[in-house]
Amino acid sequence: MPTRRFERTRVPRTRRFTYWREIVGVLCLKAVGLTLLYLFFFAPADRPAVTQMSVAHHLLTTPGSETRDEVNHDR
Amino acid sequence: MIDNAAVELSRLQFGLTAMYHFLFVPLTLGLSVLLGIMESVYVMTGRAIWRDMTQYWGLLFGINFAMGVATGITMEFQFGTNWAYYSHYVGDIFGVPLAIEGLMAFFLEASFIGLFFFGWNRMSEVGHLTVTWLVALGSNLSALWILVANGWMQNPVGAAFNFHSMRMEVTSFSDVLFNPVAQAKFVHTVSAGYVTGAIFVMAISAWFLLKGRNSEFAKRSMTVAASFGLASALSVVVLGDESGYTASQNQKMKVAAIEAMWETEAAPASFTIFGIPDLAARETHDAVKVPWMLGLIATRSVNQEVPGIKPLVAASENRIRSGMVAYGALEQARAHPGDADAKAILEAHVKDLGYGLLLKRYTDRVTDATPAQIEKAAWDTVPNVLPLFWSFRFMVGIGFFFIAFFAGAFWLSAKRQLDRYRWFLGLAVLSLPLPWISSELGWFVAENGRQPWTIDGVLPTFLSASSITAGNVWLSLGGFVLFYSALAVIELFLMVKYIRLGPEADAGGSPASLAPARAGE
Repeated sequence: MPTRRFERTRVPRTRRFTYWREIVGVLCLKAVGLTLLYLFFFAPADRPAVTQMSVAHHLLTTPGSETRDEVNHDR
Repeated sequence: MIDNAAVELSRLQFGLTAMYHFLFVPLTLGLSVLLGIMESVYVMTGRAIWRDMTQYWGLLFGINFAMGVATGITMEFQFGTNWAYYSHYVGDIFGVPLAIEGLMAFFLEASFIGLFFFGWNRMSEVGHLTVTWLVALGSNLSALWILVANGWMQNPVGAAFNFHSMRMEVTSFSDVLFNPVAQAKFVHTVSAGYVTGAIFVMAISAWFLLKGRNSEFAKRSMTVAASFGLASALSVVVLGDESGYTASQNQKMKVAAIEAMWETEAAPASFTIFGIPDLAARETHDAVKVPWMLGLIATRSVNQEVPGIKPLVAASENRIRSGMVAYGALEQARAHPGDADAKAILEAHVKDLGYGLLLKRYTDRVTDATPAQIEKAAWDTVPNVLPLFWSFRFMVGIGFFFIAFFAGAFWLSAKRQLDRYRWFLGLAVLSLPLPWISSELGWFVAENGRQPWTIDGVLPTFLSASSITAGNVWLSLGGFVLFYSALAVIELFLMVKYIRLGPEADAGGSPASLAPARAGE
């Protein structure tokens, strides 16, 4: 199988630049948008802290006390 | 107390995010493989037109990838905020395939995409071809891990409940990985992605032909898409049948709801082609049935029954009663961790604990639930029959249309008459939205059919959601809708722009009209 290199492009640089400028623009917009969504709505401050006891309170009528088996599961 | 509005809004937000993300995924899956095929032909033949095809469809692939990448990350945001109990309860298992997907498959795909675009003039032909196939491999591996996670939600194998940690924990990762539901869903979903890629290439090429431009480019693209699409469309139906079969083994209620089958019929059961399911009356009006068909599809036999909704509800009542025993034993074991009797009872009934938890919607004292509450909870195990029934039928109808469409395209391609019938080209253009519609319907059937569970038989949806207010979810939902709508408009704009520009548009390669394929050719 030949392993020659592709020959160099002759396409004007401006046309290529437009495509990549738009792609990079989209990626930047997404990075900003997703960061804002995260900061406004999903940052650690908005996230409920859930432990085995809070799950037990949520699911059970009498959640019992915090228990441990041989492995520490609340990492 | 559980805020049902917050639960439903969290579901809506997650569903919208997943559906939006899945607008991009199938095209990435399908186009990446088509790019590999086109470039393979180029490397084998050295004909420049195949490189142009790879570069042009690669350019559209790039737009789709740029628009789709990271739109799924917001689902991970939601796991922590809206689904905190779910994340704690099953995060040990569910998180693993998601992490592997991010660390292995996505980075493989994302890294090699850069080389795909910028390596044309910098790498050997075989080196670049390898990169293109690695992009396709990365895309498909991403899908594998996501569907391993999703398959576990449908059929939670290889895990056990730990009453100390109040969570499910992995007992066998190979069971999670080789979960038959996940494997069937993976091949079905990936094939659907291949059909999407093939229809995308067919539709745009047909548009070029209708406009009388780039005809050689368009006909070759259609030839590849027709044969690849026919193989994929056949695979989708065959593998969809496999997916349905695994569902009939593990999610009997989902199958009964999709078929709006209220009673168990004598084997082999008939398939309802048309009907108007009525959840209130618990019957299907004006049903048109095909004898034997469901029995053959769901059981692959003529003597096994497919259970109906009402008998399954009765079975759920029994499981709820068993779940009440598990619930009581769990409370006892947590209050007295040394109580061997409680642990033994819990172990004997733990597979029904999830059914016991269904009663939490009606009473805080699960172990004292009344027969009326048990009956209500048992009927909660029936998903919303009407939309499931029709979504499934539209999805299957579109699937069979694809087989006929690609068979026709393949025939015309073999006869070298792809540009002869304008009506066929018009049909190809009009077919463009269909693979997305069928894919979204497929996900709707899979996920809505799993209700009322997030993890089938283990954790009810209403107990999976965080204790947050509906107002909070409204706000974040509004943010999502605004941001993702803006992205969708930009995506459409860019796609239409570069489709109109046609193969003359270029992201860095070299069109055939300007240069021969290989130096010295």
